[in-house]
Amino acid sequence: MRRSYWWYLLPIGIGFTAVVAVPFAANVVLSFFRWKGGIAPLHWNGFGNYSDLLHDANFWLSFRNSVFMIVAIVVIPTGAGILLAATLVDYLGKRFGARAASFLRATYYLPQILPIAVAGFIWSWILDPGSGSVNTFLRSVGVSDPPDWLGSPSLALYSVMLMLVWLQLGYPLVIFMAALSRVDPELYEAAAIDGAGWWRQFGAITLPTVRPEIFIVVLTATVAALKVFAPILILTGGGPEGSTLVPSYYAYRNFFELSQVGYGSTIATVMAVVIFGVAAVLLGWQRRVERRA
Amino acid sequence: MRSVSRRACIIAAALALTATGLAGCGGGTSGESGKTFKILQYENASTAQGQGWQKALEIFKAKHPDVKVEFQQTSFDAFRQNAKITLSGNDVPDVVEFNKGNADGGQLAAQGLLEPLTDQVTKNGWDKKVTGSMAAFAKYDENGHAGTGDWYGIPNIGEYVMFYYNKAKFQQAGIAKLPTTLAEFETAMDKLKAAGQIPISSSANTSQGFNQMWIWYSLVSALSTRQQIDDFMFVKAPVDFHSDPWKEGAERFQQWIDKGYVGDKLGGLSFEQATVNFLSGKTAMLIWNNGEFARIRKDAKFDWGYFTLPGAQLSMGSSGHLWGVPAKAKNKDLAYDWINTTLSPEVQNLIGQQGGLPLAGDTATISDPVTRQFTERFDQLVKADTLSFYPDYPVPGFLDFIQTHMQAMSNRNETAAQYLDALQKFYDDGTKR
Repeated sequence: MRRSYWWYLLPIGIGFTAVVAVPFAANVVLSFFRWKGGIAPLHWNGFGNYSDLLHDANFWLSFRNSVFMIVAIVVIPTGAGILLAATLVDYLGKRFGARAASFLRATYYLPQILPIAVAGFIWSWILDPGSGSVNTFLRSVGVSDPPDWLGSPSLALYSVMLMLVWLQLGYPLVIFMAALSRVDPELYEAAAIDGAGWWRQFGAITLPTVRPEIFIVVLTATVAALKVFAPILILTGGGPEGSTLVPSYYAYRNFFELSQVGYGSTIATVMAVVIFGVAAVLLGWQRRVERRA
Repeated sequence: MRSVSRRACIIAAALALTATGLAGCGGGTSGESGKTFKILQYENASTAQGQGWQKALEIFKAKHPDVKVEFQQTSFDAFRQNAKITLSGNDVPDVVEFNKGNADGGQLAAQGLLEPLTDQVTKNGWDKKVTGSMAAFAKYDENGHAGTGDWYGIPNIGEYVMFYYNKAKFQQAGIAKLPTTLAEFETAMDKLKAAGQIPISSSANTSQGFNQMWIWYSLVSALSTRQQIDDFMFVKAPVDFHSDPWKEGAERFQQWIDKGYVGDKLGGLSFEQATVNFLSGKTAMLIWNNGEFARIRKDAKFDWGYFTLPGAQLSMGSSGHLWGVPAKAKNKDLAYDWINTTLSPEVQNLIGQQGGLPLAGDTATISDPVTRQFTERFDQLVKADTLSFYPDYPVPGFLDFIQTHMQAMSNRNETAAQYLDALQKFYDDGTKR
């Protein structure tokens, strides 16, 4: 009987082969060639592109920036998301009613439903060094020379991170609030009667409850962080002076700007392998923790 | 087992139906392709060129009543980035608008994605209308280098870069008459600075922050001969970026940054923000091309004028974007007729009336004196053969490269000498590739 279920996988199998497996295989094959694209001839290059990549300072810079993207998309929003979800459910929800908590949850989630291009343009205006609202505010409180948020190489990466935190926060928040609705409110009441404070309740009840969701959020957000693209394209174009370059944007630049399709494929292949690796490690970790629990 | 095979049959039947449906769709489309003419372009319909093309569309449809014309809109960036994919597919447009330069048109031509047009150019007399520097980026050799080889594109309009200025701010700073030399221009900017003005509205964002690059290249052009620019642009002879005009151009550009002629915090600004800063009266001048002429005319709430960089030997400018015919286009004859239509006097003179700098129009027919004067200046530059094109044309990836260094110089993280070192390497590597 079990064999019969395989038929249900057929449509997704065909879709996966056509949309993921074949293009990925083609990408891997192209990474061994030098190719300008279009109907230009392919030149066999063996592992030449991979060896060039190892010595490419821009690639390693983009890789380093991926770590910052993980901080902005995974670490900060997940941590803040748990705290905010707990505050909204335990405190504001009880004090002002479930509708107030739902309203606040929706406002945090709003950036997630905005088209990324719109969000990017809004932030580029907010962070405009001349007439942007941030610098206008800073000038109004007496800062005579406010910073150039997206134009200074030492600041732009942090400005992009700020936008990404804003963009991402709603996602873990909504998931964690849904998870917390599983908890019997009497559990918190019993803990309070036993003398447990908010932080004690948070550590003993809230965190263990949302643990499966934390794994899901960390896994999906880490993958998103490693392939972040659109915010960089819209906000900084990898600049200023390459300070916000990330691997997916660097691959794109090689594909389309520099007509180095083979090299772009090499970057994409390496990043796909890194993402598979990171996802496998996270899934393995989740399984180990679940087994222990 | 019986249930398994029944399910299998249902799935197989569903897939077969889907496949038949898809095949049916494909067959239908290919049957109509002879009658559907697809134009893919990225000009906004409200621009002079866009309005001219609407007129061309009317004429073309009247000439070919049996042809269904699809006038498709895309964006400059979208087509630039997807051109190779769009043109190497099986269902390509019949005529496309593309960007000029070795990095764009040259790549498409060298990759065999565009149809050589040389025979059609002679047959239709396009070379009588598109001449000199306006034709330079219509031709590409087998390596994708502009200037020689077959024709691959036909432009309709021209472009030139100028300084739009706010007359009230010039008066307040005590500038009685417009500068006529580079030195006078710098003195005028000193006066503007002394009067508390930012002389030039600029930008240097990696994404769309082109003004700084145009200032730098305008300075280089101002100090160049035709030969020096042609060597650089058409990769005719080795270029030594450590000698003039490159050296003096870059050093002078750095001085302009240091003296505050272009304002500061430019690394995060785009050309749109630079334009808004000029229109809102925050700066005295804006460097841009004719692309913003109509907008400034409409939106500036102050008395304004324009001039090309004073005392310049050459000025930035070139032909506009090009019409090309994809190698895989199904209706090539219709495509040639479309190009002919866009170069017709009716279309060209309409573009001229709207301030669009037509290549085959009659400037004398322009009724509005401001627009006529503006077009006459362009005609003078073309006639004198003093347009120096745009600096990112010679090498693929140059735009990105120059922009990054413009940011570094604007942020005072790189000197003119360091920029010239990097420029030498990128250009030499890129032109050898």
